[in-house]
Amino acid sequence: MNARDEESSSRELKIAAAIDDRTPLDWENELARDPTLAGLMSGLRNVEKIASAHAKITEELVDDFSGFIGTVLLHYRIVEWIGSGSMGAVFRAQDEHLPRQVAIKVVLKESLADRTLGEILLREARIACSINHPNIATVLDVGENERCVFFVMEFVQGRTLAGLIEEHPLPASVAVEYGIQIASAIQAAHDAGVVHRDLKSSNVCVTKGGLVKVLDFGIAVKASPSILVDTTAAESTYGPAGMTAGTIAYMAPEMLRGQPADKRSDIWALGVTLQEILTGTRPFSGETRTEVERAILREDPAPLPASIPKPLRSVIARCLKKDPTHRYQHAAEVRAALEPIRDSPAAPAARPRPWIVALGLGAAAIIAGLILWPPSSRPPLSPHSILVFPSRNESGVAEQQFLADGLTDQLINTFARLSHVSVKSRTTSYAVAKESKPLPRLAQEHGFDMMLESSVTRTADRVRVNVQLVDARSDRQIWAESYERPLREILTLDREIARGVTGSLKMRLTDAEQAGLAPAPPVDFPVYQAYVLGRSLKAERRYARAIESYSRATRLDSTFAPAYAGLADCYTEMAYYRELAPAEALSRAAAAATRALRIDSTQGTAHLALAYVHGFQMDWKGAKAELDLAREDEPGSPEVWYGLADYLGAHGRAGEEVAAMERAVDLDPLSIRYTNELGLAYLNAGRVADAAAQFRRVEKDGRSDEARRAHAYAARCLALQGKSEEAIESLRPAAGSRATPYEEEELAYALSSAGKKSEALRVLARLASMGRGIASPLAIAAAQLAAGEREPAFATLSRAAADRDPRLIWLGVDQRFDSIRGDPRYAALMRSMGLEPAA
Amino acid sequence: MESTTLLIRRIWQGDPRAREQLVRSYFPIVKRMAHGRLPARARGLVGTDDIVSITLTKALQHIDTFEPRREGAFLAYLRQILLNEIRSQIRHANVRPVAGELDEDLPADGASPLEELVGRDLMERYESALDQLTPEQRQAVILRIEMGFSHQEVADALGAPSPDAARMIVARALARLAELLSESP
Repeated sequence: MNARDEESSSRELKIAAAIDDRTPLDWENELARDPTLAGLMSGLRNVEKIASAHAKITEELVDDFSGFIGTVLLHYRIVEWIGSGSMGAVFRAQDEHLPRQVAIKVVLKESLADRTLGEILLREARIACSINHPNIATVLDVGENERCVFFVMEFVQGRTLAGLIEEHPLPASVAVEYGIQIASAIQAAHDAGVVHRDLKSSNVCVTKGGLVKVLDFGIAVKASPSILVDTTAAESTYGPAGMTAGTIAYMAPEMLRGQPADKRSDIWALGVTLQEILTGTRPFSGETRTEVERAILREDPAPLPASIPKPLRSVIARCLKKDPTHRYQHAAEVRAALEPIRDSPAAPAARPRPWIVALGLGAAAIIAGLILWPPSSRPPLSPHSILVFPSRNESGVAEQQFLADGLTDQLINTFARLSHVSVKSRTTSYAVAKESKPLPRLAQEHGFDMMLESSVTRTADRVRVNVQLVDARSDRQIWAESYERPLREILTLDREIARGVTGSLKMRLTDAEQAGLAPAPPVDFPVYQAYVLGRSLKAERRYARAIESYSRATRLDSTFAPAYAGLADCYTEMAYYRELAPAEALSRAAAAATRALRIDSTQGTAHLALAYVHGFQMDWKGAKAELDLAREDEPGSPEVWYGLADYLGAHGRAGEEVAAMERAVDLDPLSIRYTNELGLAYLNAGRVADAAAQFRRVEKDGRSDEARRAHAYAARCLALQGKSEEAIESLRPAAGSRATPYEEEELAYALSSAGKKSEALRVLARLASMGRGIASPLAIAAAQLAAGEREPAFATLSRAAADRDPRLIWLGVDQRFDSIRGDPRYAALMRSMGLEPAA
Repeated sequence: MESTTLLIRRIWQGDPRAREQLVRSYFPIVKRMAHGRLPARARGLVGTDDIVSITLTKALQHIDTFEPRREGAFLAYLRQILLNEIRSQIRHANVRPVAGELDEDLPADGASPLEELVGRDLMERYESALDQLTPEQRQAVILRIEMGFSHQEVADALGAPSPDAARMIVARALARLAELLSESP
């Protein structure tokens, strides 16, 4: 290679490097400098073409950001795109270390005005990581790579203020409430030395619980000047999440003059936001950017309507003073100015309705709402009806979820002990938590007026619990507290929280209730762990494993009463569902319950278990005594009311049975099991149509066991209404599916009622072949009776009585046996069960 | 990211999680590769995601016979499978009538976005030129030009000592490519 060749080669490499670096090339000039490159030049041009094409394709991908989906930034796997702005996009991502979702804002470096801006952003975001405030979406992590800087934030589920306002301006009461929360957020950030700089309605999220979360603190990216120029004042949102860029309508005059933003610029933006909440429009507007700028710099803000309370108008006016020194100097001052407006009785007290409007529902929805959610026809419950919202596990570790679940259960149980509180059941709590509707609407639909929210954080051997009590109708916080305790005291926290709640509501407690809320002895952590696990397993009807878990708790701490009560509870259910021989199950239940009560006589669950043990053994007096004790301990427990309903039904008191069962359903309206049982109570009371309505509700649950039970009972309703053929038709199993024993029982009855005796007998034979104890003796006897087989019916009943089959207790109220009430054998049967025969 | 070589070794040992992890890591990368190469028409028949999945599945089926020393080699391997797959999809698209009628005048296959930008002829020449590069050069071009890797990432993937070394490899590869793509060699 001669010198000239070497020079060419080196030039060629330089050009190749320029292509690699995407440095623009002046081909003509290059050629002029070295004509020997002419041949190669076309090749280099082709390479350049190919490189640009690939870069363009990659850019296109970056534009729609689909290239990010599935990638992992730090340890966050990007799941889906939420929204985009001109400088980046927001994604939902899954934390691969912790079981949580996060939002990641990705800002492409090329969209930043200069290199140092990226560094400034990162530095500020790192400071923002230290801010911990309920009204701020916390920045959890920051990072960068070749292409972008990114910010990992708390994932907030809710709607942006911008989105809410778009549908309807919000009433003054709401504006004030949100203003207070935004001001608190700003103050907290300012205290940490972070200025937002881009506060606006699309950067404020409202959760379904009405909690305001200010987004993008410390990571508000100011667009590069070119982007700003391209953006008209009118546009504000770019994507579903409303990530915006370059909107000037919120910029304080000093920012427009090129001075740096400071705390007071955020206060200006708060003023703009408040006016926007109230009127749906911003105080300074114009067709073009220049017009908006001029308005901000020179003009007075658009006047607020006179209907807005004067003090509120004054607050906004002061936020919007052109001279920053004339504004409030601290966000805390804005807050202090807004609070008296909120608390003043004269002020925006146009209460309950506005909240519906506030949450983005127009008049049509309100009208529809009246149709969709008819007020409950039942009498009102206790003065306070509380929903314990499932506690959040903030430890960031899935293994600690049980702590949160445990606290939720404990709180529900503790409130169930109070007579002035009606607490929604576990089923309802978890179901409500899955719904994404505004709190006031949930409150209306599920019939509660307060919500208790909590979060649990475990750090080594300590636990911190934050709670807040919210007025569900107005979405306003009533009370809040934070507890930090050694881990082993977690079992005492529910009582402490309950004391806080009852105190904040100035609730009068009976002596017994006060005693019930007295601090519980601390319990060792592994014991608690095993206990909570047992409880959740039992809720899933996994009795054997629940028993294992409860037993582990009792082995670790033989003085821990709740675990014994839990064991008793498991065994009685196993007896009822025949998962264990009733005699054995009941004796174990009795032993465990007794043990629990010896340690702590106020264990309602243990009393209830004993009531069942007595009831199954036809010791009604004992059952009643235990039921009374259980009610005393836990007046708000749906299980206790259900137990009482059983007792009343067995005693032929069908009307009272219905009332007790209605109460259980009130307390746990989402439990399909209770809904079925209420249907049966209606049947006992002769209210066939009401019963059918309950069963139809449960039937909608599809193929669940309860739904199939309901389906069978609905057929019985038809048969009782003289529509046996319809009943038979409805019970024909769908192709490929097998009838359940419940369905077979009702089919036998319907066939008998329709006079199809031989078919009925065939079904009865099938039922008998399922094995002893599977089919209900009551159902078999009822079918036999309907087929005119009176003697066999009595034989069936007598055998069951000899077996002490608990299902026989309904004999006194079941109308299918009305025809034999006069028979002395019927009276004898009743007496053999310790029950008085009905007149 | 756990090193690809390590992941592949874990796959050999029958660790299903490694398999999943590999797919997860490479899905977006292969998708990016597929994006520019799949003609709109073929894309309609099988989504880009499907092609990517097929590619990764096939790559994993043959992973036992493939021992990449570097990530770059693995990417080149994936790219090859992807291109084969895309070609077969295009062939498939060509033999299928569109919307029930067969129009002989219809272009036999739509151009891919890359072909639209640089022309089919050049893309074909590029592909064949790539084949004539050394494996390291080929991988460098793919990583840097096609995938937009940073020089650091190229260095990591190729096992080069530094970003500058990677820069050099890329420049040489591009210069060689230019020679091969010259109009008048």
